Amino acid sequence: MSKKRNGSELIGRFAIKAGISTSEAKSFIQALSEIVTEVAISEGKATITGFGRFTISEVADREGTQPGTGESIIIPAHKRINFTPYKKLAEMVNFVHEHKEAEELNTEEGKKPESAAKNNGNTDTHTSGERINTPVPPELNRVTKNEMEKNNNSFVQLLEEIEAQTNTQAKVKKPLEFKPPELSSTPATAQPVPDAHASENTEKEALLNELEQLIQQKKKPLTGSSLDVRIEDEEKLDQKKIFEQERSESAEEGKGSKFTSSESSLDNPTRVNGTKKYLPVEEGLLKEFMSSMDELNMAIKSINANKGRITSSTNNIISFDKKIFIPGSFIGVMLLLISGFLMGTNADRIFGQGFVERISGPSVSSTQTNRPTTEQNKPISPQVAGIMSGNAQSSSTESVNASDLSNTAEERQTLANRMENTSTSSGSSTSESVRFRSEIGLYNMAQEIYGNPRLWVLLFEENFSTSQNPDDIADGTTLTIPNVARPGSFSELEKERLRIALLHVAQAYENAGKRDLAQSYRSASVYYPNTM
Amino acid sequence: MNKARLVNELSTQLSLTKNDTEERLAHLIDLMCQELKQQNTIQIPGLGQFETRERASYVAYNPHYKKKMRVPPKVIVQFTPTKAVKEELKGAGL
Repeated sequence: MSKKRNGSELIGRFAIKAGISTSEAKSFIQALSEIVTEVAISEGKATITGFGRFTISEVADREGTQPGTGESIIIPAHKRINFTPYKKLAEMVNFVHEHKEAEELNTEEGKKPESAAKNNGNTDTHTSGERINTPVPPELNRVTKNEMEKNNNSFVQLLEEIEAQTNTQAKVKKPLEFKPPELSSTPATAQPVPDAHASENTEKEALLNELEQLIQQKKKPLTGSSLDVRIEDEEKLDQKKIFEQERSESAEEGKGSKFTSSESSLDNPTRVNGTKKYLPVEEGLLKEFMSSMDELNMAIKSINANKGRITSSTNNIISFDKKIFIPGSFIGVMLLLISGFLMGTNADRIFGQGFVERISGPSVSSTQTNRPTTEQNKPISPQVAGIMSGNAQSSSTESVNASDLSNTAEERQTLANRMENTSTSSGSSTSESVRFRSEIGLYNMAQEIYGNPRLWVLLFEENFSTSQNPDDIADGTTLTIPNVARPGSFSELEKERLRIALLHVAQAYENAGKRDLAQSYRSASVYYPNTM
Repeated sequence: MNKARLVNELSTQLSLTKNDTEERLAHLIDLMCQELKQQNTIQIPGLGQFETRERASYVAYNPHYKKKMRVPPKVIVQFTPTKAVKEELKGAGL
């Protein structure tokens, strides 16, 4: 359909349009070209308002291959002239794809549920022990233990002894009281070097454990609820991942098992006090240990203060989510059902006919009658022809020859009959049919059938009602191909039919909730048929 | 270069009134736009050729949001300068 307008053809058309002689038109275009080229080269930019902008860009040296010989050559730096069409022109040219927007590609969707499920599993194994056994968050105990493990294996043995003892001992009055760190001035004789190192390590350990606690506390209100996976936001998932890493790290150290529920059941404030009782026995080592513990204590206190805020806020969020989640979805479903019912029953009456008629008068009322589904199809034939011819004449604003007019009047009549035959008797005529292929879409099918992709609207209008979403047609649907002249030589009636088809598609998009799209097809129906 | 300047230069070169020049220019721009809208190729002597071409859809990657986007197909206007313009560009140097 696209034609090539060479220089003389363009000049001729321009001369007719502007009402000037061909030589005048030629000199005008030449002068324009000269000025634009001159300005573009001298100033790097030239604008023709309402058409576009020419800009000069510089291209650096680059390596290329000599076509034919295959040698690699260096293409020297040069200038290039670019054209950028005006926004309005670009939109006009692109009206076929106007409605399409860039859409995101989801490549990682498959992974998410899996990891969520995994995390969910972990919440169960970790919280089950602790929820029952420890009413108080046992960070401190945990830290003392970890620290010992890091410092010296003897501490582990020590603790085991302590544990064994405290099981039989009565409880002590004051929990978790340590001496001030004056002991640091008298370093332990046994191992002075690991001391400094250990204090660093213990801080890290404290933080790690702190995090672990946080996560476990968060998990508690979630476990056992079916909403677990849904409520867990990304932040929590991330934390869980970190938690997993920590676990694996500690497992590598050979003490991983201590982190799990077995340990938590052992840890109790009374046992730490047991270490205090044991002081005289291993004084040197324990003093050293306590100096580092003091720092730890401070760190933990500060973290605890923060944590209190964090955990309470997250708990609030979770409970809030739960509250609104169920009624929210329930109301959503109800709304959907109601709206679906409404659309099914009244949508045609509310949106369909009245809406379209308001927009484009009588031409669309003929669309309605062309539809195979409409009830009254007998008395309309003369009316349709009359409306159509009247409309066609009014729409043909361009000067048309008298002979053309008389020809098209006859053509109109025959086509009106033909259209009605195909639409009312639903394929009893010899019109061809084709199967819809979703992989190429209506657009490309129209390209194959008519040689012009934009005529897909005719295919759609012939085969579907306005309740069908044009972007969502089932694969393999049998389509009847409407007979039209070759694109570029449309009769007035066929133009009218194209206009109707465009409005039909617009209505279909309107029903599918794509308002912008509907608008663009509606506006296309005004000018596009005249270009055929 | 704005429209007033273009009209000014055209009118002096063609010894036409500014009103006439403006009207002719408007007609010419309208004609070119109409032709392009119909997906016709137009050749303007001394300047170049304008044609519409369909650019296929492609997958773009946004490094900031780390997302892949499918950019829809688009009909664009392609400009090819004439040999004369290309020669002038070469002559203009760098």
